Formats: sequence, structure tokens, C-alpha cells
Amino acid sequence: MGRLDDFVEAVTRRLRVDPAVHWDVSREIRAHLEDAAAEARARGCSDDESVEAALSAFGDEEELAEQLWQANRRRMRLRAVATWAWRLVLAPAAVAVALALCLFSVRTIQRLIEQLPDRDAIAFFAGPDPQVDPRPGLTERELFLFEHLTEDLDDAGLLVGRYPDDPIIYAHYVRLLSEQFSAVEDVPDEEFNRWLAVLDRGKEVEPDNAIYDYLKAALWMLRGSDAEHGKGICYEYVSMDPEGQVEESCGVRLIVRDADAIARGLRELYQGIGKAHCTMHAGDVAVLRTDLWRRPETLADYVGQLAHHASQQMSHCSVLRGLFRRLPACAAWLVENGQKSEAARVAAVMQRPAAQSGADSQLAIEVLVARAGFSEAMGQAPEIYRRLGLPEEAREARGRFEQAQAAWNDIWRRGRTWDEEFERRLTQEGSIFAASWIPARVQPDVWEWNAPLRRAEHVYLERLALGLMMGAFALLTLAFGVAGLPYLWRRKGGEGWLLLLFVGWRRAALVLAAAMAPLALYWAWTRLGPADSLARSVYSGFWQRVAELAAVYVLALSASMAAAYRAVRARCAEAGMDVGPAGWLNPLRRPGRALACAAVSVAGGLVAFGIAAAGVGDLVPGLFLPLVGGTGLLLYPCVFALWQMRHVGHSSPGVVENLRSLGRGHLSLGVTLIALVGLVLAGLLVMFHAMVSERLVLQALCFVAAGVFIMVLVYVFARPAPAGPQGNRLARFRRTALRSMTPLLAACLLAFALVSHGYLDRAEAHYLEPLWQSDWRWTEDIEHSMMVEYRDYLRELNQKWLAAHPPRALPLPG
Amino acid sequence: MDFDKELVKGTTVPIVLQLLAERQMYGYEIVKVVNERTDGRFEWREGTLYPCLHRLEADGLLRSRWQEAPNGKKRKYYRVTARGLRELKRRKQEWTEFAHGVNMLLMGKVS
Repeated sequence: MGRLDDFVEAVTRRLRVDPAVHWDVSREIRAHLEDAAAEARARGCSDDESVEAALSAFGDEEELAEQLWQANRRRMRLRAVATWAWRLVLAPAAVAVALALCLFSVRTIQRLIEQLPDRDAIAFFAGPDPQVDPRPGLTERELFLFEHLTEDLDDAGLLVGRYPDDPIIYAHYVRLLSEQFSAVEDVPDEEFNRWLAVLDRGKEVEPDNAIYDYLKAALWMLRGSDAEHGKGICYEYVSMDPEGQVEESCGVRLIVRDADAIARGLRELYQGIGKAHCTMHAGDVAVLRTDLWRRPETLADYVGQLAHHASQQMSHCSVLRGLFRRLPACAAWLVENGQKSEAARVAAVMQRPAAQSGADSQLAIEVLVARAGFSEAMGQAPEIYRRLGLPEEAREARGRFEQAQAAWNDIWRRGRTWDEEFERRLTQEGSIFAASWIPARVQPDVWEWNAPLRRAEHVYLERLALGLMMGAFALLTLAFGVAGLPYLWRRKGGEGWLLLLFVGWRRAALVLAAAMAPLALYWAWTRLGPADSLARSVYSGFWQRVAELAAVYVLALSASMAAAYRAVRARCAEAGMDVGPAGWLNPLRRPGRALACAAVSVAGGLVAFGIAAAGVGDLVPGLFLPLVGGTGLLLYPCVFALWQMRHVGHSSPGVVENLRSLGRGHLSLGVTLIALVGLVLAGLLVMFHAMVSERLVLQALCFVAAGVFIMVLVYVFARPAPAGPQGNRLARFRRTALRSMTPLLAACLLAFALVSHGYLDRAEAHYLEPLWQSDWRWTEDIEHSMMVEYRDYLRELNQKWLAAHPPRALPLPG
Repeated sequence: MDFDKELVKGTTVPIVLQLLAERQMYGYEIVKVVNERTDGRFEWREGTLYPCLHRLEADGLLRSRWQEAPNGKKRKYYRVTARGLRELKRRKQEWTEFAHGVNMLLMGKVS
């Protein structure tokens, strides 16, 4: 057949630049010539004559070579471009995208493990140290409001000086400064006097705002005295928890270091008593700041902004708290020191600063501090009047306290019904953020805020699952690529044909479609189907979504692997390679066995779920089920592929042979049953020990289940390469498959990453849109909580008090 | 009577498309069928069939796949795509009109 070979080589020589095309065309022409020669031979020609006849009928060698080159030139050019694109662009891009997604998923898993048990939603969604950027083009004033923590307050002082008539800017500056007030006892006089000067300037900026008077009073009293907690005046009150029970509370006792400082503090206090307002403008600043945020595109942005807001230190509250606590103690101290008239004056006004600041509260924390101060002052007043020898006043004060306490209890009781509704809805349709961040006793309209947030959280989870999926995909692609590299390297050494086997555009498109189909179906299920409207509890909804996604992505991974392998296999078979038994490396090769393995995994998950549900809280079973199923399913194709790669180019090693014989001894059903029995036994054992240390054992069971699952896979699917000449041919096919699947998988990876990521980006921004527009931009706003009722109550008291004691008529001390 | 080579060359594409529209075939099979149906009067240079097939495949009029022939050997089978069928229809129409025109000129009548 030498003449035939020479002819075929001569007409296809120019096609050698593309090994696969060259090989394809050579085989086709050779087959034709062989058929023609065989027919001539059948007519009675000799071997040489039949070959000559076949060749002469085929035509002129030179002309044919030119025609074949012309006919295939475009195809080869396209393939060359595709090869270069793969080598230069697709592979590095796929690796870069994969690494980015892997990093994201690793970071998210880390947050998942570290933060979720503590229910720190901010750290989970936005990281431990979220960064928030302001929108571009902020003015100096806006930037000052945005960066609430300035390191150099001297600069801030200068800046504030440029806005002399802006009460909000000034209050913001004072609040920043108040972060240092906790060191008031040790601070040098110079610094202390500077603080006082800043507060004095505040009084000029806002003459009717008592906050600066009270902060000054607090500074003097904190500097001049220590407080012993629980050692002061005790009083009884009717508690709401448990309802109706009478409990006792004790105030602080004052240890005075500097009586003059106390006197100065009281003088500042009296100056604030008659003023109409008492606010630090913290809420005003928060509202202004929300306008300076960049519009949030992702949940991380949004959560970071909330965190940014939350990281604002409300240090003025702790300063005021110190003042409110000390006032009754101060009255008691004055009584002890014989300054009875001064004590009576303090007793008459000591609840007033708390009431004033409560009436102007803008944040929940401010109402709570005011409520505590007001209640303590009212509660201790009767005892102070009794010590002053004014029993009638004491009785009246007690009456007023009981009235105030009853008012608070009423509000709290009403808030409870909101609480019940809140708990019920939180369980059914709450977002993780609502569960961890919404202050207690909020009004039902919080759900307008919750719904889009919940959707955005689910998109975030989808992104997390995507990251996991891409991680698995990237690992597989890299593994194939690395395994194929040595053969790429050896190409020049001899075995040069079919360097990169091209499966064809249609097959490549089919592989992509197979990879994307589960994703599309899931999208339809969640967006158009019933899944979107399913009411689920906050954490089980979270985990169910993760479990669903894990299943979808594993399906997509398996589908794309199977489709890619089928395509490469079909192409190799077309090219005349020995491709071995059907479906090597195809996870869906034997559906019965694959289903049996899946059944083992699911059964393991169910056993674990049963155990966990019987013995532990809500979170762990939800975590456990997808972990068992997900781990096994995710590891399945990877372990399988890596395992198979061991056989490439080798004859069957001893260990594999042993495993094979072991596997051969069992039907897949038998293996499944054994695995099931093992799992049930392990489960019973675990149930016994779960009483002692729940989590550790459950985790151990998870690993056992995953381990059994993988072993079953290995037993059922492991197929060593046959030895001998056929084995060599198979090994050649496998090497080709390794090389050729890499670009296909990389293309799937890129398509997955780009499509899913693009979609999730848009979805997240879309769901966050109503959040951005709603009033619920910051969660401490008291307008939506029961706190607003108490604020209104204090506001009413304040109005009455001002009506009864017009500021002008107030006898201010000289 | 053997046909003129130029005449045969111009009809290769519609003939190949028509034959493959009937059933999928490999190259040698196409040659055999043509010879059978024309009693060998179409003196195809068999080799020129392959550039034609490759070009039609690159144009999306044909699709090919390696498959086992009845004799157990692997052969590259071609079949017509939907686009190929449309092209065949167009070529047939073209041929009818062309033949009509040639008949009118050479014979002075409609065939």
C-alpha cells in the first residue's frame, strides 16, 4: 500500500498545519482509494493494477492538492484563531475569573462559618471591616458629615468655625469631641477648659438647645465625683417582665472628690432646665449622611452603609447617662451635707434633663437612655423628699412615678402585640438582616423594607453558590489542563497529531447549552415558579436556597462534564481512535448506579437530618443537610475525574486492581445497601453521643457520610486502563480527551461566570432599588418603632412643664 | 456518449446535494451511485468530489460525521442541512430555467 500512502500524503501535505484536519481528510481519501482498489480487485485485477486504477480515477495529484487546500483553507484559519484564542485569552481569562470567584467563595464561606452562628449580619454580608465610599463631588461640609471619625479634631474645629451658624455641623463636631469625654477624670485642665469653651460656643450657636448645658454639667460632675453602682437610693416598681411583679432597683451613690465641681455642674444644669430643646442632632446627621452615600449596587454596599451608620459612636448618650444617674445621687449627697434647700431644688428638676432629651430623641438609643434616666430620677425622688422631711411631697412624687411607670408599661404592652406579629412574620418571611438588626417593637411597616432585602439576600446566596460552583469548575478545568500539559510539551518529540482536538462549533454550542440549561431552569423556577412565593423561616429559607443552588450547580457541572466528554469522545471516534468502552469519564454513564449513589447521599443527609432535628436547634439541621448532600455531590465529579486521571498512560496498578476486584464482587445495589446500613449504624451511634457534644459529632457524621459516598463512587465507577496494545490506544485517546476537554470546560466556566455574575449583579441592584427609595434607610430611626410613643409621651410632659414654668419665670440661680 | 468536462463540472453541486438529500452517503458511495444512474457516462474525476464536499460543508450546506459503513469500516458520511435543501431547490429552479433557455436557443422549441 506504499503507493496509496504516498499519494494521500502528496494531496494532503499542505493541510499538515492543522493536524486534525489533515488527519480527517487523509483518512477520508484513503478510505475512498481503498474501496476503489478493493472493487477493482474484485473484478479480477492484480494488486498493483487495482491501485493504479483507483489512483487514475481519482485525478491529478497536483490539481487535487490545490483544490483540497482551497476548500479547507477557511476552516483551518478559523480553527487556528480558535486555538490561539483559547491559548492566549480563554485559558488565562478562565483562570482569572475562576480565581476571583474562588476567592469570593472562600471569603464568604469563612464569613459563613465565623459570623453566622453569632448572627452578625453585617460581618457576614459586608466583611469585618466594611468600606463605604461617598458619592463623588462632595463639598467640604458634606465630607465632614460623611467622615464621622476624623482623626484630627483641631482641623475639624477650624472647619466648623467656617460654618458658624450651622447647628447640625456644630452638634456633629461636639458629638465627635464627646468621644473623648470618657477620659474627663484624667484629662489636664487645659484640655478640659478647651472642651468647656467648645460647649460654651455651642450655647451661642443654639441658645435654646439644652444639650450643651447638660454636657457641661455632666463634664463637671464626672470630673468631681465617682459613682458607686447599686449603693444609692432603692425604690420599688411594677415590672413588665414578668408582668405585674414588683421589683426593686437601686441608684448610684456619689463619692464627691471636688465639691466645687459639683456646684459648677449644678449651675450649668439649671441653665438648661428652661430651654425648649435638647438634641445632639444625631438623627439629622444620619439623614443628611444617607444622601451622601453612593447608590448601593450590591447587598455588601448596602450593608456596609448601614454599618457605616452604626459605627457612629453615640458617646454623648453615655455622657448624658452619667449625668442622669448622678443627679438623684447628688441630691442625696446634698441632703447628707446639710444643703437641704439646694437638695430640694435638685430634686425638683432632676428628672427634667432626661425628659427634655427624650422628647427630642431621634435615635432609639437616645430614647432608651432618656427613659432610664427619667425613670430612675422619678423613682428616687420620693426617698429624697422623705429625707428632706417633706412626706407630702414624697407621697406626691411616688404617685407621679407610678403614673409614669404605668404609662411606660402601657406602651410596652402595646409594643408586645407588635412583637408577636413581628416574630410570626420573621419566622415565615423574615430576612437575615431583619432578624438580626431590626430593633425590638417595630411597627408592621418594617415588612416593606424586609421583602426586597430578603430577595437581595437570596441573590447574595446565589452568588455564594455560584462562587462554590465556579471553584469546583475551575479546579476541574485546571486539573485537565495540567494533566494535558506534559503531552503538549512532548508534541515536538514525536507524537504530533491531534494536538488539540476540535470538536466542532455545533458540539461546542451543545456543551455550553447543556451547562447553562439547569441554570436557566432554576432561574425560571425561582423567578416565575412557586419557589419565589414560598414562605420560609429566616434561616431554613437561607439553607434551603443554598441546598437548591448546590443541587442546580452540581447538575450543571455534571451536565457540562458529560456533554463535553461526549463531544470529545464522538470526535475521537470519528477520527478513528479507539475510545474504549462507552462513556469513560462520563458521570451519567450508568444512570442506575449514579442514582444509587445519589440515594446513598440523600439517605445520609436524611439520617443526619433526623438526628439533628431530634437533638439540636434550628440552625444545625438546616446546615447539615446541604452540607452532607452538597459535599458529596460537589466532590463527586472532581474526585471521579481525578481518580480516572491516575490511569492515564499506565497499565492497571495493583491497588486499582484490588479495588476493581472488590468492586466487581458487589452489585451497585448491594454496595448501596451496605453503605446505608453503615450510615444508619453510624447515625444511631451519633444519636447516642449527640446528647453530650452535639456539634462535633454531627460534623464527624457529615464527614463519614461524605467519605462513604465517595468510596461508593470509587467502587462503582473505578475502571482501570486495560494493559497491552489496546491499552496504549486507549491511553492515547485519554490523553487527547484530557487536552480537548480543557478548552470546552474553560468555555463553560467563562460562560457560567459571565452570565451568572452579570445576572446576579443586575438582580441585586434591582432588589435594592426600593430599599434605597424607602424611609428605612437606617434601622435606628425611631419613627417606625414603639419608641416613638414614649418619645411623644415625654414630649407631652415637656410641653406641660414648659407651660407651667415659662422659661422667663424660672428662678435661675445667680 | 461522454459529456463535456466543463458541462459536468457545473452540475456537480446540485447533483451532490440531490443525492445526499435522498440519503446520507460517503464519498465513494456518491461516485458509485452517479455511475450507476448514468451508466458511467458522467466521467467524474473522483478526487474532485472531495474539495466540493468540503466546501459545501464549510458553507453549512452539508454536515458530516464518521460512522461505520455496512462493511464494518469507518466512513465519513455526509448529509444535507436545511440550508442545503433550500440551496438545492434554488439550483433546481435555476437548472430548469437554464435548460429551458438553452432548448429554446438550440432547438427552437420548449422541451
